[in-house]
Amino acid sequence: MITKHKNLNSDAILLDEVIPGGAKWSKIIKRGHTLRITTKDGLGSLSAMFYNADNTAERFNSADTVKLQHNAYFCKGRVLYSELGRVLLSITEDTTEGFFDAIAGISNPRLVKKNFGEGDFEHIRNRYYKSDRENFLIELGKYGMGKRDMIPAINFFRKVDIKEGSKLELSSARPKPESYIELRAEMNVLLVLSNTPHVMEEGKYNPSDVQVTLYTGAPVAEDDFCMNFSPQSQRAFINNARYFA
Amino acid sequence: MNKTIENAVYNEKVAAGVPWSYVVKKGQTLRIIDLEGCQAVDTLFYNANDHEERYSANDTIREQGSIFITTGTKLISTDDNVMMEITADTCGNHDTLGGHCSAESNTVRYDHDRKYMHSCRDNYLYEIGELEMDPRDLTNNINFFMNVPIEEDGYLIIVDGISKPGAYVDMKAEMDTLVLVSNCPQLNNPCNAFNPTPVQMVIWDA
Repeated sequence: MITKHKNLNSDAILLDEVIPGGAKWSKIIKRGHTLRITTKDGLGSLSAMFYNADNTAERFNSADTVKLQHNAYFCKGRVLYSELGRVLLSITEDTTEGFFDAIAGISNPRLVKKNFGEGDFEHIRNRYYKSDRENFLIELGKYGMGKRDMIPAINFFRKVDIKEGSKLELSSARPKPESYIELRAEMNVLLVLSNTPHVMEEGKYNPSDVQVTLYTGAPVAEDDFCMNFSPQSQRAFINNARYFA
Repeated sequence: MNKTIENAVYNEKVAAGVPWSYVVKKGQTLRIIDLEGCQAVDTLFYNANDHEERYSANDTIREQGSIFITTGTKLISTDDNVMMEITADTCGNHDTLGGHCSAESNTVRYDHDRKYMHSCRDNYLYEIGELEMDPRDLTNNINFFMNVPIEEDGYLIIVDGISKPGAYVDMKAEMDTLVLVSNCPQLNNPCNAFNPTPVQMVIWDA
């Protein structure tokens, strides 16, 4: 576990924990709080679904996000939109340098078996091969949510390239060990995470730890980097302000 | 069987800007005809007997290894089943990434004064209400006949369509499939050549 966080005052930290490889996790991130997600060795892949915690019918919309930013990829400054033209999370930092994927989706038990072979509880106990599908269904169930709430996810720490204008290829490149992304909640956000290998990964089932560090920060300022990243973001932040008026 | 309008079991025109839904039975083939060309047809698919099972853009794209839909594409569900297979495509250009337009996203894409223009999401929510489905059943859809090329650095934007008048796409149902369409009313970008037009829906038995 990382105990000394770069550029982060320890007094501001509200929560700091490791999500082991294979595990699921969820939390309501309060508006204005920021979650730093660190990959321990650069080998992790973390899938995320998230919602307006006060109205879970308002969900992350990957299609709107890609369309509104005119790009299928992600970087510091870009924001993650709900389907109601508002910002759920802002990408306020990204030392991974662009390791996000909103195209390939999530794993299920059939794919995990196909990609990694047999790994059931009966034989290997708690190291059994978990899939994103079971992780999300279990974690969403705790909020009274289910299959209908299983939205197209975004994956952190892996990148899927689109070659020749259409072909998908899981990039073999990896982020640096201990690199991180930071997500600032622009409303109260229910964040659900599944820490299993990327759906297009094959070979050895070897998920990697990630660390989540929640901290408080200054309110969004007029010159905020994410808010002013594009005219679209400026208009979306106006929508958020109207929502909270 | 040679597919002609005479031997079709269903043949209806869908006006510009309106929703449409219909159950295509297993084995039947649905043809969507872009009557006047360059008309985006925002389309979603559900297991007719269990609406919680729906089209999954991620799974469809990943399993075929390509972001575009064309002849041979199997439309995969959130439960990992094949819902439909594309059996003919005279256009060759259909978007899977852009989703559907909404009042709210129009305010972000264009300006706050565009909020009260008609949108696909309004069509979907209305039809889903009438069908007594759940608004959460909405997800990333296919945009038939909509042209969204993507560059190596991820840049993408809706550009002029290449769909000619009369272009069509055929899909054969592999399960009883509820097809939910918004015949896109967007006037702010070239997805409908700034002129939304009707499309024709034709169904044949196996």
